[in-house]
Amino acid sequence: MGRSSLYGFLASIFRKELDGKTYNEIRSPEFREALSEFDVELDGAFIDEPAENVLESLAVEYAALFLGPGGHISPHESVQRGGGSLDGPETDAVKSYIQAAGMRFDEHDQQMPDHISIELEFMGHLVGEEAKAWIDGDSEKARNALEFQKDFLGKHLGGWAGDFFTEVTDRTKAPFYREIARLAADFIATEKKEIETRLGVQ
Amino acid sequence: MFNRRSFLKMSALAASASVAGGATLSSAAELPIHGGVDFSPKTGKKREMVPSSCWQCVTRCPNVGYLEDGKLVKIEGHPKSIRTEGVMCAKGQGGINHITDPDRILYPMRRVGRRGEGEWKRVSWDEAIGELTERLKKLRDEGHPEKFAFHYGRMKSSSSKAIKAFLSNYGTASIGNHTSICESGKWTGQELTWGKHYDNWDFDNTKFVLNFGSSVLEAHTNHIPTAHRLLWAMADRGVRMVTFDVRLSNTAARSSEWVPVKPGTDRAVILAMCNVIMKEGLFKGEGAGFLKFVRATKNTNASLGDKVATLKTHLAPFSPEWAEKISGVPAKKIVEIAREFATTKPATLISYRGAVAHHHGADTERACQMLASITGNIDNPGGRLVAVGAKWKYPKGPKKKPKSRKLKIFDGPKGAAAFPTHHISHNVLEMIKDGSAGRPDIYMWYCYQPVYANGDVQKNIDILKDESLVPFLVCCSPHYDESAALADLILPDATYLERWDYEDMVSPTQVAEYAIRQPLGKPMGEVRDLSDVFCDIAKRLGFPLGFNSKKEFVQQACDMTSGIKKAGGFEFMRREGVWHDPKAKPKFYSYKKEISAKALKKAGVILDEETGVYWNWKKAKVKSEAEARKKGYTHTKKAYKSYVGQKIGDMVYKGFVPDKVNKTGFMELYSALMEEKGLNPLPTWTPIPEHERMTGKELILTTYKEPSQIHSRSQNCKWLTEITHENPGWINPETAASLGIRDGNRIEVKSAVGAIETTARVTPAVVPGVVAISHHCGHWEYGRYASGKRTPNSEGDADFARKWWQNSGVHPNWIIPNAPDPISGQMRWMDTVVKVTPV
Repeated sequence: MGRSSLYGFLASIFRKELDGKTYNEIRSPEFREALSEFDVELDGAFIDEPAENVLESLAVEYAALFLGPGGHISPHESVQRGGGSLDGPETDAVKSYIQAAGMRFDEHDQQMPDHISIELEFMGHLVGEEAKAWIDGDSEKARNALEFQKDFLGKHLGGWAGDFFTEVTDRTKAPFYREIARLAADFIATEKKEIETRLGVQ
Repeated sequence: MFNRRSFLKMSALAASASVAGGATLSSAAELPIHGGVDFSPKTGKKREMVPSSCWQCVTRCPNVGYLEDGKLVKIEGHPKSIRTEGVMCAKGQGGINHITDPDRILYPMRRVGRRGEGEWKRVSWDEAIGELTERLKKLRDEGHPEKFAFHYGRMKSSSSKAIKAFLSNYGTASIGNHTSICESGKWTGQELTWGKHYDNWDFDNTKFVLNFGSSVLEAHTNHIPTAHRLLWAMADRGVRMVTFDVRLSNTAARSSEWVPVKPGTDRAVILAMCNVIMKEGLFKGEGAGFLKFVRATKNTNASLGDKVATLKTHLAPFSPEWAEKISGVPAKKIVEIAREFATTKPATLISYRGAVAHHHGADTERACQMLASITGNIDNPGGRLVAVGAKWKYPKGPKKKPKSRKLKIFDGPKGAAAFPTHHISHNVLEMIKDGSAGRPDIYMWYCYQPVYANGDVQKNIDILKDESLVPFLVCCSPHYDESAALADLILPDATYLERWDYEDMVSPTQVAEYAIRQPLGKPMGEVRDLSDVFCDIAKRLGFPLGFNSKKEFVQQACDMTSGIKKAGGFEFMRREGVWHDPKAKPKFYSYKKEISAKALKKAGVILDEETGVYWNWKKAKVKSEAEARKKGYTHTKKAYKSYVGQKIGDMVYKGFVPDKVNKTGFMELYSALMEEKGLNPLPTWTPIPEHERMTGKELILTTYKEPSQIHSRSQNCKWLTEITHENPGWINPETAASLGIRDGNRIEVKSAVGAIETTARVTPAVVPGVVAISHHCGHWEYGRYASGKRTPNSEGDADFARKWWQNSGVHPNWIIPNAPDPISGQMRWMDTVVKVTPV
């Protein structure tokens, strides 16, 4: 699984509740093998229980973790880093950043721009741009994409995702979310170091 | 020297004289009004101004929102509003916190585990509406639409009309409100005397204000429009205000005089003042003149002399010395204030929950009406006025409606109150538990907090938690409050800053003001205005309402209401926010309007000989004129709706138009309706039963509102909760000493239904024998600021980390029983007997 794919995968897991199609893909032997490369071992219940039961209990856990009502872990940067308000200055900053990078938001999507899944998705796009540039032999563009990744991690995602995913790992009752959140926390930490290193080398 | 009056005089003289100034300057443009413009302090960029209306409290002041890059950043009063004149309170400005509350509900949520366990699952709107529609359809198909019980807290103007259009077309009349936990005793008292409820206080023209139990400067239902005028009257014109209150409220502190009074005894003082005024002949003049329009005896043709004699005889036992023993107010003071009130013309008498939220509180309001009447301070400039609000035209939905059915659970147990004209909402859950009047299959609440807002909180929780009593609970709220926590389905409501409405609240100027509310930003997440949701459900049930959204409803109303239509309709209101008829004159003395002979000759109009009321038996839906004459006006169901006028002498006047009950068109100080129910027809003294039984060590619990919070639904606003977040129990030093309590001690306050703990605030600012605890605090849900709970969600919240207070206060309703006033059904907030002990 490439970096871009991993960002995309994480974005889809934290965007909304797990749906049947994604669930079936994840529990396929190929996908589990791919995840095992990151030391992610999905629990027996996730694989063996009837899909309906698994999805229902994960939907409840998703709500408890990220939606509430009640004491949830807000998946928004403006709440986690800023003044504790939804749609705060960080939300605007993320939106402007993403738009400045040439991306357009789906106007029908109700998700706020600083939702963890949007920031992960954006990183996936930047990584994708970089990969494409390397293939095209455009090293300047590739480096530019890498600079963007460093910058976005530094200004936004990297500043709060680690604590956020650790919080999820600590609080969740679902092994699935624990494993994926642990993976996400490790991945973001690695990314911060790797991108620095690569930019230093090049 | 430099007051508004002196400047007005100078202006009048200078206008036509050579002293008007030079001719160097001429006007090139209209002087911009103060307010309505704002700039970003960071960028200097002008902010977009959008007019709208507040909803924090029921006053519903017109406001303006300032948007920066499409985002609401600030709220101010609307500078063009004739009601508020641009003033806005802390609550209104702090409302901005609702939108960005990190704990708000953004999606429809369905309960998963057992009710109240806190396990939820997100569902789509299609699923949420689908399930609700299916259940509603089943009830209707089974012929029991009444088993859908809808209970609102605040639902006004367009929200009320649009939602009721749905409910009536669906066929349920099982509709509850929450007026009985507000001030229904006051309204019933007014309905029994002058008809339509709501009194306006003319501070612009008054010379004296007499206040019984109103925190008018802090928490009135028409707060800012009246409060700022009262302050001007006091500052500019030296108007005196005397406040009778159990507690030195901020209002009492800013009054010319605070007169401490024992809880629930205001009526004794008022009756004694009436006694003084009648005995000393101070009613003569305006008071005597007004008595023409007063019913003071059974006989509606009584002469002035008969009326005066009856009132004197009735009031004779209520001497100032008698009232002193009951109220603790010195007889001398009662006489002094009675004389001042009767001789300062005009004067206004104001009252609120401090006076009426008691056993027989409705009779206290009737006594207030008596005192204002015998001094001629009714509906006159400077007096106590019949309120004027906007009269919108609006789309009414399909013409053909089913006959609605109703569960009789909204007026409490049989005989709980003689005139529950605004229902007994605090008894609804107990009625559901009782089950003798049936139970709803769906109990839905909107802008309401049945668990927290009523008394006896534990009982409310137990009843709602019991899945065998009501199988399906639906909550429509923007926030996860104590009641939402017990629902089966939560519909995430738009905050008031994200929705459309037209507004109609009373104007202090007696000239109606029309206002709209428009979104000050895109609704967050998937929240929706309930009116829009009901539009969708109506379509699914096969009875489209004729409007597809609240916006469309408001748009149609703007284009249907003639003055607004002429001014530019919906687009004008979007741009301006408010409108009033510049040619309209303030409404005073409307009861003196003569009814034309033509109106009396209309088909169906007859004279009720017993009362002198002209009414229309056809409009009252009586089968024949003969039957109408036989039954008479008083005993024909809802005949008040067909009232035409009141015969007084040889004339027929508009009089005081009845509402809710079949009273006459007189100001009824004498109520034959009360008499028929075995109650004293004239305002009288009735001791509060539990106070009569009190022992020496017991206290009376009194409650009140702080100026920066509304009762139940503002504590998530962090700016407001930073100002008000705890509520100690105020105890007089004399009382505290007798109980061994010192300032700052933790105390237990225990009643027959429960116990709470708080901190003692020993202060002479409360009368002896009382413990005073404010509302608002002690939430255990409603987000981090209301509950004070740290949550995973609050770990990285920089603002929450700066929260410097630890105490979130205590909720007094745990220990207040849901007791109704036997006259009106009003919740008796201020009657609870408690024991207070150090912890």
